[in-house]
Amino acid sequence: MVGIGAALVVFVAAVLTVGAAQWVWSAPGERDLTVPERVPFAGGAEPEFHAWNRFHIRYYAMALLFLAFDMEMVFMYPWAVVFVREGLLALIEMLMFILILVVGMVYAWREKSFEWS
Amino acid sequence: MTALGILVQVMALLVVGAYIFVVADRLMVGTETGVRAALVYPVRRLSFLLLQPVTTTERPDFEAWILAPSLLFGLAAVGAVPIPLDAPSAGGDIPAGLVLFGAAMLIVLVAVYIFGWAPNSALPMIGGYRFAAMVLSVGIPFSLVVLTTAIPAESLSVGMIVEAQSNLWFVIEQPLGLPIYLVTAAAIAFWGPFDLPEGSDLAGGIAAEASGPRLATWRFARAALMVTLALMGQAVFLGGYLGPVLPGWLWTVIKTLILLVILASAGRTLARMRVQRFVWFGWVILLPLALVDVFLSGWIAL
Amino acid sequence: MELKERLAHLAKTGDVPVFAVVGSGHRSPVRRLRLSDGINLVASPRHAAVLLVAGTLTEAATETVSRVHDQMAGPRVTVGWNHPEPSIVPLAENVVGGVPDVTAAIRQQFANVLTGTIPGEPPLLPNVDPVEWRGVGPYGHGGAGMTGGNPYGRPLPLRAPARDTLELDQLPITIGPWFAGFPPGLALRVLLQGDVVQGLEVDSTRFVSDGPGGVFERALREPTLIRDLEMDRARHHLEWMADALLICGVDRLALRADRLASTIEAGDVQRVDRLIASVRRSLLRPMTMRGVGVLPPDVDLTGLGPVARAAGVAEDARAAEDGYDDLGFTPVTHTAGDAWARFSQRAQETTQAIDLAGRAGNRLAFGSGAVEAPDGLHRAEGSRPADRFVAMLEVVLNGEEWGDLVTTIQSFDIDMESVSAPKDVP
Repeated sequence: MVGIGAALVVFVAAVLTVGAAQWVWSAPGERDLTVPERVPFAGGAEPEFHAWNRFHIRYYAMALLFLAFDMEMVFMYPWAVVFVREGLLALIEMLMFILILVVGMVYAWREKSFEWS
Repeated sequence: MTALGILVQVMALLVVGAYIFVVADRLMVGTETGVRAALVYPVRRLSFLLLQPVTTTERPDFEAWILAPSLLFGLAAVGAVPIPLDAPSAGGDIPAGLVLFGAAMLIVLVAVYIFGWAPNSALPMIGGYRFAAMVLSVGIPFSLVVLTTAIPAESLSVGMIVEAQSNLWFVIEQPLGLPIYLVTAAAIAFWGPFDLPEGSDLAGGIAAEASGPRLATWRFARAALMVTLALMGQAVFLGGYLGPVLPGWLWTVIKTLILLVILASAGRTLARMRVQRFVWFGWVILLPLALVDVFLSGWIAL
Repeated sequence: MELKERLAHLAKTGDVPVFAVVGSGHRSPVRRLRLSDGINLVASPRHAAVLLVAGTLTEAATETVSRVHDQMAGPRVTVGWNHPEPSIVPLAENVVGGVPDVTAAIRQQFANVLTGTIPGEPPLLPNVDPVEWRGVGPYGHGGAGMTGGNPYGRPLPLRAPARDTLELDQLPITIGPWFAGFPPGLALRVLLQGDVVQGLEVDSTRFVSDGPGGVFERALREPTLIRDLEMDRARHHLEWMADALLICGVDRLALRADRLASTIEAGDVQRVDRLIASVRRSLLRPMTMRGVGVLPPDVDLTGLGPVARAAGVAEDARAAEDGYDDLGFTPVTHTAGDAWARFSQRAQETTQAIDLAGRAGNRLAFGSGAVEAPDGLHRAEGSRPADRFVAMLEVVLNGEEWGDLVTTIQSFDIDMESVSAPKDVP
């Protein structure tokens, strides 16, 4: 499994390279910023509150639908590999599975889950 | 190939590719400065950003802010590992390379989201949450069209998928594949017309508070991500290194460039999609089309 | 340090990132600056090295301009452009002149500050914490509330009324007056829940001074050549289209619209038609504008010019003029009343204006106290359309997603220079 090992090496090395580049370049000789220089940008006005908040995502129903389809993706990876060997049976089985999910998708569409509520 | 060899190859590929992509994008904007100025543009721009100090906001999440560009570049790099450049086993030939690529591309969501969250500022935060909506909407179609190329190849190895195209490229055999791939790839790289998290209606969105080296690394990581997406696009749809006369690696380069130019020009000539329209577009248009692509291609493969 | 010198040498010949604060009389000139070689107008001061203060600002703008100045990452330098009041911000240089002059000055100051010929400007606002520290521990932990106490002095966002037993936050925030997505000088206090606006109030402070008034103001008092009026209208609409295209991320076409606005000649309809065909191909309508910014039916549209005509009100002061009657003028209208209808309306009025200007000869328009300006009906007495737009923002934008809010505000074409003083707003 030299492949996966290599992928891990590349990932770690890439993350560390860019992280180190940021750290090295911003470390030496920087003065501390003053208070007005650190005010978040809002077009010239001063914010009164912290921006971090319990953000109301309007697409929460859609996010649930994503979970259902994402599970389906997990099954599809092995399915794709054995598909040609298993033939028509595999096609029909996956079609049934997907159709059930699509019913859910159509229902979500009808319930306007893809719009901001 | 050793791990070190792969590392050097991927890094070189992404750095050179990112440079070319920035130049191509510069030419697409349509300023009158000409090709020569466009060729030195990335160098000048980088020089300026390296002279700017990194600014912070009042109470940012420092660790997340530094991590985000690093993570984005890491994901771009690891996504490029399984792509063969001139022979099925060149590059890190990973048996389940497609899974690795798909996983890396969906984790881009985390990098972008924390980059918007970290500065503790309202406009970047909206950008981060917009991106979450986008990836949840196109993640499935994106994975589906990439996965569909594994059906005729009977393998999740990218090298095997390229080999399976020796008779006919999948861009023809799976006609829905490449268009859906390009649309979803542009969205995952938050590139125009889907640059919602960095939109001009948010004064730069997630990048609005970033300056200097931080902005430079972020822009570089995004350009690298575009290169990775183009590399995979050409490998699974355009036959990768397959082609007459020229050596295989040159075909890879040419096809990657073609996809990069298509993406760059779409980014500058198409209007940014509203986020609500985008969610609808992802679920109601792209997902059904991707499913049709899966079953149609499956039917043809039988 | 030698490396820094080398970088500065490379960077000074590149694009200058400029954050522009646009005062009265300078919306058009600053737009023309976008065409200047090597000037890049950026939307966030964090990306900028040069602060451009163009035209006249009011005293009230001092603090906001200083804040934007301090938010620039540095090395920073401020350049004024026909800016008469150095009291608002200390200027490194004030340029009196046109686009080429200010471009040269910006490039020069950019090179100076990068190479260290002049020092970067220090922050303008005092280095004091905005709100007293009220947290218990060093990170604000240990008190009451989500993170305990008030980290960095600022309180946490407000709690919205519970809905379906779900408790969510609301973030009140003021955006503007120098937010690139809004007309210069417009500041909005919005109550954001997520990315949706749940409350909105227009800051009535004036940040830009009264405008000098162009050919349309003159036409209120004296007979004016129709040719001049219509060419000015075409230029105004083309610049407005460039702004709309920039906000929608179509930079390439925005540049074309800008170029067209500075070079268009009477009767040259084809070039505008080609631009509009390109805009259609950019999918601006289906992707961004369709169905956005529709006004409620009870809004009074009279006198609101292209915005009214885009919603089907065939009302145009030009129709009552003899000069226009000779030219066979009939107002264009659309029915949808959304942002795209407004874009399309202005696009067609541009071609119409260029056509009229080409055929107008020496015909005159006698304003008789009312003139159809690009943003709506101007009367010799009474307020300008901008007042009405500002007054209706609250009703129109409540409940909109942030991106739609920006698109809608831009689609009105609000000129903050012509807004009445705060006490006159109805």
